[in-house]
Formats: sequence, structure tokens, C-alpha cells
Amino acid sequence: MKGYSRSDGRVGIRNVVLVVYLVECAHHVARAIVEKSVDENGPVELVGFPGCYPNDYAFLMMERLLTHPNVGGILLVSLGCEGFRREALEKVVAESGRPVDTLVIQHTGGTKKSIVSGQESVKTIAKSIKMAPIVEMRLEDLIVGTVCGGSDGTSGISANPAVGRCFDYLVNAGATCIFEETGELIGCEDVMADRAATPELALEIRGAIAKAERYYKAMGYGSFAPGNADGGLTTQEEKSMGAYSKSGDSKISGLIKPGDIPNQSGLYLLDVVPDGDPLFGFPNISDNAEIAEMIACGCHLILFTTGRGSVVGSAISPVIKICANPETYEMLADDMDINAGRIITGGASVDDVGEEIVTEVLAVAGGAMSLSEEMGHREFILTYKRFEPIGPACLPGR
Amino acid sequence: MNFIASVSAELESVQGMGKGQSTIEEESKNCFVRLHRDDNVLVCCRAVNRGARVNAYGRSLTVDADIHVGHKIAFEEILQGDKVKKYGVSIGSMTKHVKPGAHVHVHNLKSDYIPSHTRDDAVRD
Repeated sequence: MKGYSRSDGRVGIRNVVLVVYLVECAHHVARAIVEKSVDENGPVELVGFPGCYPNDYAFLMMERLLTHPNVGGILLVSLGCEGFRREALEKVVAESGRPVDTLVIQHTGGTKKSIVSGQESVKTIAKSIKMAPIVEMRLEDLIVGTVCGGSDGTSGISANPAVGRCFDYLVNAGATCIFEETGELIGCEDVMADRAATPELALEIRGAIAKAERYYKAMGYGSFAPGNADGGLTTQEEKSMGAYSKSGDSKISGLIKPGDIPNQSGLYLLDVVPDGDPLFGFPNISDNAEIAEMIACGCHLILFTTGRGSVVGSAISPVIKICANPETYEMLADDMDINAGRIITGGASVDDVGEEIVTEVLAVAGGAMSLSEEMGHREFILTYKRFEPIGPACLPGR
Repeated sequence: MNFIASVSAELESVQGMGKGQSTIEEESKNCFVRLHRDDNVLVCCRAVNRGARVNAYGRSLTVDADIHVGHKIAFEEILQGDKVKKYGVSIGSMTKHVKPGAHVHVHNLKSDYIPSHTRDDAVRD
């Protein structure tokens, strides 16, 4: 595998120019810049934060996302009066050695002039990152995340165990793997605590699941969608056990929160449920919010298992779609990279599909596009949250 | 046996059973899998209609509803208040008493943690 070498020592599998709106008011201008730039300048992608109120979590997420190893250069698009600390963000990005420019719509003279100016900036940035040095990439440099979306009764018996096998292989080979959604691990605390690297970490994991249960109870809804029930899942804990099988059998090396980047290989659990009383509402309003958080923890690519049939991709890191349900695969084959439904119809074993997923990971890391990536799916959402920093017991290896 | 190994072994042995059989009745060719030996429900791998007879793990069960892929049926009689076991762990409590072969889902099984919701619930709210 080869990758793009970045100044912090990390290696990326893509070399993307990001156009970043810092408030919804700047969204249209940013989108127009991307639409007009994307054909001539290599990958140019749109991300942003819609809120005007400041938020530490949103700032940290932007810091991590904009300095992700898959990202080569950045254009910030500000309206001018919003709360986002654009100067501080530009400074962090510049210090990472990446070309960065800030466009302030109110200073540039409005929509039309800003779009023209933005296109110029993107052209310059794209040109300068073409020279990004390419190096050998080892599995030790790779961080892979997994999420499930549109789960049903097949997810936990086909796609998820197959991802678990893939994770076992990757962790064994020195890569870093992250699984998440503590809200969907309610009911799994005992089995997970057994796998924790230390007893103190086991306690932290139990604490995180208990927090998730309290939080979702306060919200009045679990992390459960009507489609889950249509597809045979009945309870939160049933969904959780199925989801849990994505993590494989490796020992759990640490518990991290969005923006924490593991500095040692191994398997990590990402706690996505905010700390304290609910302040900003539902934790991850749809699947792409979790994907963005995994990317902020350094994930180069995402393994996405689905029963009902999600079609999303993501900005910054490609998404590999693994379909759990054979009937869904029939309907949505063009969107599904891997058909794990064969485990249910008898065409393949969990091990077979696990191996296929590993092969696909290496291919996509090496530059091949996933199906959602090829189709142009670059979804991104970022909302308000609040987190306390993780304690020392959460990363025992450090 | 670890969790994934036992689930995948079960699926493989069920597929093997299905392939070898040559029977006349449609009901016998169905495929239901028990993911763990302690489970009291089976997961559907091939859809069957209401009234179909399912032969699995030495028992003959008649299903009481159309069962789609991914859905569960009771492997044995389950009493109201009993825990339903899947993957070898409890996935909730029965709210009604059911016979073997009954569809087990939101109408008779509830979470011990957090209630589930469907699009119909949203309309009622």
C-alpha cells in the first residue's frame, strides 16, 4: 500500500481539498465553490458546521477533521459574524503544514465575488497538494472504523460477525480498529468488560454504557429505528448484541471519545454519548454523525454494515458497504461492496466474508474507490455536543 | 466457544442440513437457525408463510404468522414474564404467553432497558 505522508508522521489514503463552511449562512457559497471546482482539481469535498453559537466539541471535531491524514488542503468559508473561532482554526491547520485559506463573505463583497475568489483559492491549494509526498504504508499506519446503519435481524448474524473476523485479522496484523455506538451496546456491558485490557478500563466501559442508558431514557427513544423492527429486531439489547459482534474477539485496548486518536495499535471503543445531562438533544441524529466522529479519531476508512440498506458514503474517508440481508442485496446491489447475505443463504461462511472484507480494505486503502465513493456520496453532519475529557484508565497503554 | 465462532458454526450446520434433504413438503425446506444452545428462539433465514411447519433441531413447529428473514419464532413454549434468550443472553421479557412456533416480536416481547418504537407509534404520538 502507498499513502500520502503528512507532517505529523501519519499517512493518508486520500488527498482531499476540503471546503469548510463555518455557519449555515456560508453553506451555499461553500457548496457553489465545491460544485465549480470538483472536476478540474481532483477531490474537493464539502463539510461544515451549521451553528452560530460556539461549541468546544464542534471546534475539536473540526480541528481533527481538517488535519486528518486523508486531507491535503483546506478553504474555510466564513460569513463574518458567526461564533466559530475561524482564526484559531486556521492557525491549527496552518501549523499542521497544510495549505489553508480563509474566505470571509462579508469582507469579500458577497456571494458572487466570494464564489469566484473561493474557486481561485481551491485551484491554488489543489495545485500545491499535488506534490504531497507518497510513501509506503504499513498496516500499522491504518485505522479502520466500523458502524452499522439500517440494521435488521440479519445484521447480527451475517455482516457484523464477518466484520468482527476482519477486525480480528487487522488488529492481529498491527492495525488499529475502532467500534462505537455505546448507545447500541446497552445490554453488552458484561461481555465487553471481560475483554477490557485492565479492570479499571472494564469499569470505565461499564460506566459508559450506564451513561448511554440514562441518556437515551431521558431522550425517550433508544437508538432504534422503525426499520430495525420491520427487519425483525425487537429490543435495544437484541440490537446491541448483534451490533457488538462487529467488534470481533480481540481484547479492548481503550475507551476513547470523539477527537481522541489512538496512538497504539489495537481495538478501541468510541463512546459517542455526551457527558452530563442532555443539553443538545439526541446524540447522533443519523449515521453520518457517528462516521464523522470515527474520522475525527483518525479512521482512514469505515466498514458500514447494513440490513435494510443504507446508501451513504462520507466526506474525507471512504465507506465500504457490507450488506447483511440477501433480499436487500438483490434490491440494492449497485450500492453494496460486499454481499454478506450469502452467509444466510448458504453461499459463504462468516470466515469467507471476513476475508473478502480484509481484501476490500486493502484495495480501498490502496486507492480503489468504494461504490458509494464512486457514486459521489460525501455526506457529512456535525452538531452540538458536550464531553468531559477521558480519564487515565481509558487508555491504559499510554 | 466464543460468540462469533458459535454463531457461524450454527449457520454452517443449518445450511448443511438444508442441502442434504429431499422432501416433498415445502415446509421442510425452510431454514431457521438457533444461534446459541441456550436460546429459546430461532432466527429465520428463509421466509415462510403462516401455518408452515418448520423442522429444526429435532422439533416440528407450526408458525403462527408470515415470518420474514431476520425475524424470530419461539423454539419452545415461553411464558409471560420469561426472558427471551438469543446469542445466549437475555434480549428482553415476554409480555404474553406463546406456544412453540409463535412469531416473537414487538407485539409480545419488550426490552428490559428501553422501549422500541415503530412508525405507527410516531403517528399515535
